[in-house]
Amino acid sequence: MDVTLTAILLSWKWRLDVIALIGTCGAMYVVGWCRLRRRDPRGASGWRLGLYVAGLAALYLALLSPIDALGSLLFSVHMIQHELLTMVAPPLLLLGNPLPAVLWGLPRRWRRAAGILLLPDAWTRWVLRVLTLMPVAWLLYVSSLWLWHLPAVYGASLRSAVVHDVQHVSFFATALLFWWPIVDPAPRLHGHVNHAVRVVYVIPAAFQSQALGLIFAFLTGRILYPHYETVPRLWDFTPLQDQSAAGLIMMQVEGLIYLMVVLVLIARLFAREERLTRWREEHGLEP
Amino acid sequence: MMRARRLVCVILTAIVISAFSVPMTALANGGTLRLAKVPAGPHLLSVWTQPDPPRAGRLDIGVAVMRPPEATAILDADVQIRAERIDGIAGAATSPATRGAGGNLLLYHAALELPAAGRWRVTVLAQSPLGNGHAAFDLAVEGPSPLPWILGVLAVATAVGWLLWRLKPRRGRAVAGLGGLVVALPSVARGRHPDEWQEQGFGVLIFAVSFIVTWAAGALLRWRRRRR
Repeated sequence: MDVTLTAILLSWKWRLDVIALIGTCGAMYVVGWCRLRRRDPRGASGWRLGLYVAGLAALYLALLSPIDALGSLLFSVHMIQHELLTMVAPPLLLLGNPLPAVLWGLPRRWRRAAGILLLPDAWTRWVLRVLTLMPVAWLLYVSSLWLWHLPAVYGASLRSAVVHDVQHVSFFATALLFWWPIVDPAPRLHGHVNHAVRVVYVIPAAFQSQALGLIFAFLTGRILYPHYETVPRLWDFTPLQDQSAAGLIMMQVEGLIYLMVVLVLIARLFAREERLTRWREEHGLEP
Repeated sequence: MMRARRLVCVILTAIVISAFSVPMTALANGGTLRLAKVPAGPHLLSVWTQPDPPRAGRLDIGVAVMRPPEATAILDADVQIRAERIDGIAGAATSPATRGAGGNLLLYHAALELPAAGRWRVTVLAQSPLGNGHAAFDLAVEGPSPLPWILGVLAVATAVGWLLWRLKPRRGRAVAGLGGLVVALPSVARGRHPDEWQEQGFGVLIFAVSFIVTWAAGALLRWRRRRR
């Protein structure tokens, strides 16, 4: 095998803090899932466990695999890392409906304490409710995305490991908030939100990501992040080609994921309407 | 509500501990660029350093050795880093740079111990099948940062405060607080090179030990009281 490719494939990172965090989240979820399953198998389905584990695996890949090492050499790979942190891991984790399982994974005393934080009158729940309001979550996510891609700010994240970590945490945290109203996991903070409203929430997000991707891919015509001019070149990729590839990755990956989300939401909207119609017919009500 | 507050306290402690376990050798993410594709004999060299600004103590250096003109990575080079003071005071540090030490096997990494603040010249020597070459740059190295000390004191205060609050009996509080301080303060004092604080696991170790000692002391006191 090519020496460079071997070096890339072996560039795994060993970060105790990340491994401990992912391991703890995974262990708490699995323990809670098993406990819930023993009480009521319907409350803990296998597919939710699978999605949650897949979400953690996406985080692990993004932060500890060669993707992270290669991200300092190729902007396109850095973009893949950010896609994993914003478009793959957060929806998968939320689809796993994490809070009930994680709560049940805690020791009894801690479970009660954490449960108190989620009671209807708790300030923590109020904060979460405000942060996951559609306009708030959307703005936080989109501003974080655009802010971190400003050349000066992005450059700072390439110079400092701490800033780079802050960038990743803010991407992931705002993405969790952004995906929350779409997936709507427990606790239900906003009642039932119509699926049509969720579609309206997703479409502008898709447009802004296409716009950002377009800037990288075609519109600037110059290298936005000079760091990538100073690193070894891989596979004869020029920095400008690499930047275009990053833009295309952003447009394609996010476009595809948003399209899938919109289709699923529309399907669920129709399914709900159908259920309502059937119910009305069964109960002799006019449609 | 008390338990909820305790939980918040535990989470805060965990965040403080995590902050201390952030690895310093994160040069896979770049660092401050010192040399950008400068010719060094038959090679091109790019060099990055962390932290920024450079401070007395540990200086992490990342080196990319490239083959001109296409700037592809050379992975079988022998790279040495040498730092010498250039402000008239004697002082030097040398270290070999190895591939993968920063988690990126395409770059070479070294950790230099710079004993004092001042002006330093860092020379990177690269030897590969293409030949030998070197390149140098100057660094203005500052004194140690007070931030790790502040963080250390804050973390110790958090740990001790949590334990004081956790243990109700007065004697328990006194012993637990004292135990935490006795264990944690020498560790704080050891951090003469502030960057040590950011090494993987160092902070975790300090607080794990202080927690164990203080908790054990508190548990012992409570057990004795129950026996009476």
